[in-house]
Amino acid sequence: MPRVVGIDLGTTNSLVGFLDEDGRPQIVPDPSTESPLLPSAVSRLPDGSFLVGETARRRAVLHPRSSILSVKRFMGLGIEHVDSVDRAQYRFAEDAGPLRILLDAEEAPGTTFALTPPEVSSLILRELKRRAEQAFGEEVLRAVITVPAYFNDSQRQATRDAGRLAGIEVLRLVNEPTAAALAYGLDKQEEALVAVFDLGGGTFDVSLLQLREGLSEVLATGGDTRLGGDDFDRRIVDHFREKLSIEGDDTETFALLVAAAERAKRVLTESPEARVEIPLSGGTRIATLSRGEFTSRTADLVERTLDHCRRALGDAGKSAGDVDHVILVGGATRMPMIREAVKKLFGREPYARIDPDVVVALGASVQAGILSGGTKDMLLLDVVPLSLGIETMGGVLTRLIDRNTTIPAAAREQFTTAVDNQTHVEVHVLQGERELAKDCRSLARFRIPIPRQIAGLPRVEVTFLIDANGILSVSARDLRTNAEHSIEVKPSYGLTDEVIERMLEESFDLAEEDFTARLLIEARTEAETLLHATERAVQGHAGLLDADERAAIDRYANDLRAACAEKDHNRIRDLIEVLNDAGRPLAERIMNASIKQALESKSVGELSE
Amino acid sequence: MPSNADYLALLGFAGRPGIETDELQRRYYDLSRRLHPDRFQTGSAEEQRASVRASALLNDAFRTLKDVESRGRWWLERAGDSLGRENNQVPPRLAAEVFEVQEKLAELRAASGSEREALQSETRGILEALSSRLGDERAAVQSTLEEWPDASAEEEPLGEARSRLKQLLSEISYLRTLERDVRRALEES
Repeated sequence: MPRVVGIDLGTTNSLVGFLDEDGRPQIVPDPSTESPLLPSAVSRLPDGSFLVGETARRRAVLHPRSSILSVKRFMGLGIEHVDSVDRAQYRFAEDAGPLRILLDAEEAPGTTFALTPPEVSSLILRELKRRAEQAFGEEVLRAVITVPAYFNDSQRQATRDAGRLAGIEVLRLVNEPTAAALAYGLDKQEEALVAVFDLGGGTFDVSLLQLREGLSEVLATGGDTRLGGDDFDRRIVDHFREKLSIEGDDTETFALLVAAAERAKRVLTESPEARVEIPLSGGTRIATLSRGEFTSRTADLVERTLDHCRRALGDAGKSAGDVDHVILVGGATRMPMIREAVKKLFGREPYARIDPDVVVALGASVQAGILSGGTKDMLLLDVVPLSLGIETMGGVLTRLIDRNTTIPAAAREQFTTAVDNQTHVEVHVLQGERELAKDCRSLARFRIPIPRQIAGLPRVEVTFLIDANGILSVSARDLRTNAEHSIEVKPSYGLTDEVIERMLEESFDLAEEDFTARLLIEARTEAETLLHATERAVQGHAGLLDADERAAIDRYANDLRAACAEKDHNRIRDLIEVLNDAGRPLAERIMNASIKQALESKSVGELSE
Repeated sequence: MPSNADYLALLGFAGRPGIETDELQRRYYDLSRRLHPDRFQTGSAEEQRASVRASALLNDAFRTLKDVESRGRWWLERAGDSLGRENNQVPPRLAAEVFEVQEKLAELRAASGSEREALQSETRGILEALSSRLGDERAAVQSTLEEWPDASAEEEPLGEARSRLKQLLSEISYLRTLERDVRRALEES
């Protein structure tokens, strides 16, 4: 299997890594600066092209209206979730559907250019992909990407869409805290309860993981998407303003004050007092800040992080004393008072051996290694961060899958009709902990087709399935006829497949035949993977197939091989479907055989005890 | 994925609801390792889908079985019975006790000054007694499940076991409500 990379797609910085031949995770640095970090900044140039990374971050200072610095905050949102803080920084298209950020089109003053957050993220991912491809000297097509544990379905979908737009197949979305634990190799421990305290630039996240014999299980997660290192900087800015009586409120003064605050904060990690120069337009001023002042100005922020920790402990049914290891993630955890507070709450020294800026990317690389088949003895069991339910009579949310349920997870619900000859039932899927649907986050709507009958007679069972990435899919079955219905789900804030296809086409700026060539390459690659998987499954489980089934699979596989030699990508796609369908019974039997085998080896073990 | 799946059979405990949770956890982890989608990353799309479905069922089974109360409720339903709607009525064995507790809570709500303090500490005692009572009832559910007559048994012992389990579960459910009321009254006093 070709190389799989691990990606930390962060709010402030992004990184890419891989698992080397010795099984050690490595970050791919910027080839010219050697920095492991790629600033998650994007800036649009007058010629319509984009700068990504450090150059974009620098350009954003002078061209804030054509740049985006923290797109992750907007992934999977709609215009109604954007608040006044966001509006002070960015402009948005005011229509429904997937959110679009407006950038100045500098080549035509007064006009704007609209981009969805997944498109912006895909530019960052492409840069990381290029970085990795340069280092390996081969194409990189597959990745594991980390997401905050609290990300809902829409936010996860948006992340996966960003991968697709960047030409990357996202094999797995891994929760960031889980990745951090993997980086520390804590999964190799016999049994331990681990707290991951992640304070980034703009977000805070705490998770409790139970590790046992190579298995990592998320017990609870919590956090605040509007609490991060930037809030601490802003408190220092307030302090400087008061002490030096600075009135100026313009963006330039603010930028200078923030830069000074960041410097002061860095000095304070080493020494008890910081003195910084601020080159204001009226002349350079000297400002001081002591650790004591910094601590008292930010005590409430620290307390908020601790509250989230206590709540997560409560959700997991654990107390602070039960925690065996505490891991610090995110640059903001370098602040001494954070370390002190965390140490006091959990009664133990937190781990900080690995750079808190790269630890998540290292963990993603370990998971990438696991998925490419390198490591067999580890397994992650993640949970769904928010309860999933449907809207029922009176706008009430009926929960189907509770928060913190281990994924994959499934729930079934039966639907019937209220009036005669009703042809469909509308279903509205939401995520959240509140009682009323209007207070929860809308994920998707869909219609279940129903045969015309008298009211109450039809019985349709809908299965809600959350996969190992925390992403929802829906299927329906008529309980009277046993017929499966396909259901088209309209995501509330996500991009539909058609929109993504169109974006891909547009983004390539390629002639028609180039795009067709690309579709052919993709279809052939997928066919090759499927043929390989099928061959292995058939050979490894020959006893599970009868002669007819075996012959059918062989025939379809040959058809597919023949089609790959031709140039029709649609025919290859069709035959992939056919071969997939033929393999379905075998796949089910392999699972059952696996279960049987496990239980048999158990009972042997029991007898010998 | 059947909606009435036999969770116990899936984990190799067919017909034996009195399972030990350590053994349950071991088997769950072992099966997870074999069925999880991570294991089928290089498999066909159908293998991946089948593994997601199988893992979802396994996770559901583990979640239901690991807690003795939810296991008891599930087992009762499999035996063709359930707590049903009458669950809101006070279980007979608890009637006198419930009456006393409610009386005490009414006094607490009405009281003030030093009298209230005395009642508060008395109510805290009630809360402790309730949680230890809950622990006993849960242990009784476990032993009822452990001693469950096997499928070949006469209808009579099966019926007895069923009604005993039902009684315990409805008492637990009632005690939980009572515990919540007591806690709320204490917080509000």
